[in-house]
Amino acid sequence: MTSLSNIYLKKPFSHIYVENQAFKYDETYRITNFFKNSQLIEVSDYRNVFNSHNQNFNLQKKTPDLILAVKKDNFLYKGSDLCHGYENMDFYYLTNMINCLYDCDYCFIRGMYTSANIVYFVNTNDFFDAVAEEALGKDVFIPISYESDLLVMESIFRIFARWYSFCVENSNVNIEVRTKSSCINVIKKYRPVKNILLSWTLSPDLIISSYEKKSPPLQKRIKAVNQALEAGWKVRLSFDPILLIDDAEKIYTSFFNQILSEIPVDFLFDLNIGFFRMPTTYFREFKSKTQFSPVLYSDWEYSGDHVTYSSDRKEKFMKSAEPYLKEFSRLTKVLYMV
Amino acid sequence: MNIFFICALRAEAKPFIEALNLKKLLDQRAFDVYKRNNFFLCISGIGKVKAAAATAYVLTAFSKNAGDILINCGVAGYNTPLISKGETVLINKITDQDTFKEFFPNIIISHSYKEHEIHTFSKAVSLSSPEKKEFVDMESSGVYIAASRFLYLNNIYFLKVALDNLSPEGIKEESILSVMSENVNSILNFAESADLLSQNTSFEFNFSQEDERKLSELFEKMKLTKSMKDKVILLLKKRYVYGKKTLPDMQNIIFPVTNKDERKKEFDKLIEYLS
Repeated sequence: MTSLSNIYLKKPFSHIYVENQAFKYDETYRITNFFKNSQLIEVSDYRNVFNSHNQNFNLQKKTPDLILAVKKDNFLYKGSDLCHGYENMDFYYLTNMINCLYDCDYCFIRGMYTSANIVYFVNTNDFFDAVAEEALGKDVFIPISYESDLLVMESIFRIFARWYSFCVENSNVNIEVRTKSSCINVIKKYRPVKNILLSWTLSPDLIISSYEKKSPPLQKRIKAVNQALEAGWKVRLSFDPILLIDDAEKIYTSFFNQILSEIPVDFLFDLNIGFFRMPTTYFREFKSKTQFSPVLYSDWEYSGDHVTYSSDRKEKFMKSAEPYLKEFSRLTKVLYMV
Repeated sequence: MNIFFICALRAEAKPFIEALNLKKLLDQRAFDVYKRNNFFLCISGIGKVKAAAATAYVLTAFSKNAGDILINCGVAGYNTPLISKGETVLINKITDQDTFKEFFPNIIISHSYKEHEIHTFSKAVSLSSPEKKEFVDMESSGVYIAASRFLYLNNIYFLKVALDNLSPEGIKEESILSVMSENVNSILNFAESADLLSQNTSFEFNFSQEDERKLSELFEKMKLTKSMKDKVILLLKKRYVYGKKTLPDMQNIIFPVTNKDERKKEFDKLIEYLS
């Protein structure tokens, strides 16, 4: 995209779409007041604007708008029993927010939604009620940011702050907050608690600059990880997805080396590793939105209901990364995501 | 990119026809269509059904790209102090008053117009109508429904010039002509910006016409199946993404084929060459 086009592009969040029912919530007024120079557009159902066909996802990514909505049902989704690191607990996930400020070429959301505008469900208390009911008499594990990056927007939306208070009062509710952000300041004011897992996705700098647009460089993320560890937070690292682009072996072994030398891996809660994979149902839409990214051009293998790299290609990578992966396994628990 | 104007009335269209020196296309029978270079204008007639039909008609005939621009412009009735007579308003929400469905033109362009929602009625609305709204017209929902089948939502614009204070019976052709003439230059400047934005933010991969012709010749020579063609196109796109911006000369390495075995042999050769 040329700089010329930037002249003609509106500012992010210039339009705030508000579902009628969202006006019942104080949170809506707090947010609209924060964006008081934006155009406010009333919507009877947020899906009328979010799910419209023929939206230009890539252009919206450059300058997203905000949709304030009320989640009516399906507050919790049952997660897969595989590989989440909390084997003795029931696993759910939820979406307090959809879409994020970062623009990652490989994001599954590109295949999942037609819009890059950010949806914030303002009725967070209803999520709490649903979680409390589900967690009655048992421990649960719930990633709360599969479809967004909450920490990078925390200064505006304060979703983490609300979940933090909820977790302090409900020690059987274990949440995972995934992020690529370097915004460690937003969590510095909180005392670490054992039922909140901060999970950083780390990638080699070349991958970040090419395919994780708008996200912080590796060095800043490493700094945030180390500060969180020093403060006593439970921290997970995620090397997921690993992108098998040209020279992947060289790029990732250098990256693994850097992580081993700059992060005290033995202090981590665990580490997740996974190759790029996407549900087949999303892949078609993903392809149409990702035509100009090298991420798309690979020898894909349709494996069950997922698309991923060919077994040969993955094996070749694993062989070259083996010494590093062994070292990671020696220092912490390593989960391979499938 | 092509730029399309849809106007309900001749008086709304005339300032654009004159400013752009558009010529009537004599072979278009269903609607009056005017053209010069990449500018098209279609006069739909009054009402959302005619507006939808005209929009679908002209886009089917002349639009090849979801990045084309469509602007529905014309006069509208207003009943709010927020809007002044003669002012051009960019529409950010359309409500169809028959179905109560809502439509949202996706405004991504930076602009200096006032934004407002509009309500599309099937009949003229007056101040005495119980269902009167702040800003009303008779075409927007029809244009949106048709245009959104063809174009990105952010390339569909509704620029409405406030004319009557919900007293449609008193509207004269001269007053429509007058307010549209006052706004035509500003709307054309807007159209130019919209076109530049669309041209510079294309995320779709399109071969040039010349490259498409060459590929078509090659595919014919090799008698490729659909999946074989897709594989070749994917590899060409990959080359482009990795910086090889011109189409390689493939004609010279490929021999014409007459049977399946030859096709397979030539196809494998081509794939190896492009990989």
